[in-house]
Amino acid sequence: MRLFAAIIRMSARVGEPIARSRVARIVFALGVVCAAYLSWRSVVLMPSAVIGKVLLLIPTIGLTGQAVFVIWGCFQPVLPSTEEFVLPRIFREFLQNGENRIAKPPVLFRLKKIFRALYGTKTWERVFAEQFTDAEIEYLEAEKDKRLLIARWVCMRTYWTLTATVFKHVFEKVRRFWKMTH
Amino acid sequence: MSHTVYDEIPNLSIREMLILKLLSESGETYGLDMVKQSGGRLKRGTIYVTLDRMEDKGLIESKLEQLKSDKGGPTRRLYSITGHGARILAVWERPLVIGNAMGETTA
Repeated sequence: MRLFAAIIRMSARVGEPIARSRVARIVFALGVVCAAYLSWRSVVLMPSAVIGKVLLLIPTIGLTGQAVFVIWGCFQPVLPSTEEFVLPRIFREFLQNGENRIAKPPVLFRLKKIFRALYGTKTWERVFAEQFTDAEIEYLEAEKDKRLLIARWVCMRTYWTLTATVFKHVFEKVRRFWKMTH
Repeated sequence: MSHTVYDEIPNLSIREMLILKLLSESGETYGLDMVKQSGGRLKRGTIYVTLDRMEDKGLIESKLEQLKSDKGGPTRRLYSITGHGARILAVWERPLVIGNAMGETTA
C-alpha cells in the first residue's frame, strides 16, 4: 500500500505541475519539437538509414518529453489535489471501513488532466473543476452505498454535462468577443 | 432613442436573475444545490459558465469550502451574492422597472 501511495505521489509530483503551468506546457512542447527536429536532421544527413532513424525518432521524442517532465517536476511542490482528495478518499472510506479493495476511478476522472491542460486556470477552477467535483462526490456516494448502476449513470450523465459545458463555454467566448467588437 | 435611467442598469438574463434570487434566499450554496433548487430551470451543463460570467460581472462571489481536517474528499465552491448583485436584483424585481423595460422593448 505504501508503494501504491508512493507511485501516486510521484505521478502527482511529475505530472500535475506540467498540467497546471502554462510555462511548463510550453517548455514541454519545445522539448518535443527540438527532439523531432534533431532526429529529422539526422535522417536527412544519412538517408540510407531512413527506417532506423524513424525508429529513433519515437523514443527520442518520448524520452525528451519524459526528461522535461521529470526535471520540471523535481522543482515543483506537490500540489494538494491528489494527496488531499484522492488518497484520503480511497484509504479512509474504502480501506479503513474494512473493505479489502481499492476503488479504481472510472475513465471519466482521468479526463480531468486533459481539461486542466486545455483550459486556463480560471476557467478550469471556476467551471470544469466544479463539474468534476460534483460528479466525483455523487459517484463516490453511490459507490459507498453500493449503488453501482447509479454510479455508472453519474459517469454517463457527466459526459453529457461536460459536452454541454464545452459548447456553452465556446458560445460564451464568442458572445463576449462579439460584444467587445460591436 | 433617448438615454434613460434604465440604460444604466446592467441587464440580467432570466437564469442570472434566478441564480441571484436563489442565492439571496439561501445565502451561501453550491452550484449543484442551485440546480436542484431551481426545479429544472437551471441545467448542470450550463450553470457553471453562467456563474463564471456573473462572477466576472461582480454579481456573485465564490470561495472554496473549508473541509474539516479529518474529512477527505473534493472541495466544492460556495457561491454567495455580493452587495452589487443584491442591489441589481432589487432593482430588477421592482415591477416599475420590469414594466418600463417591457414597454421599451415592445415599443
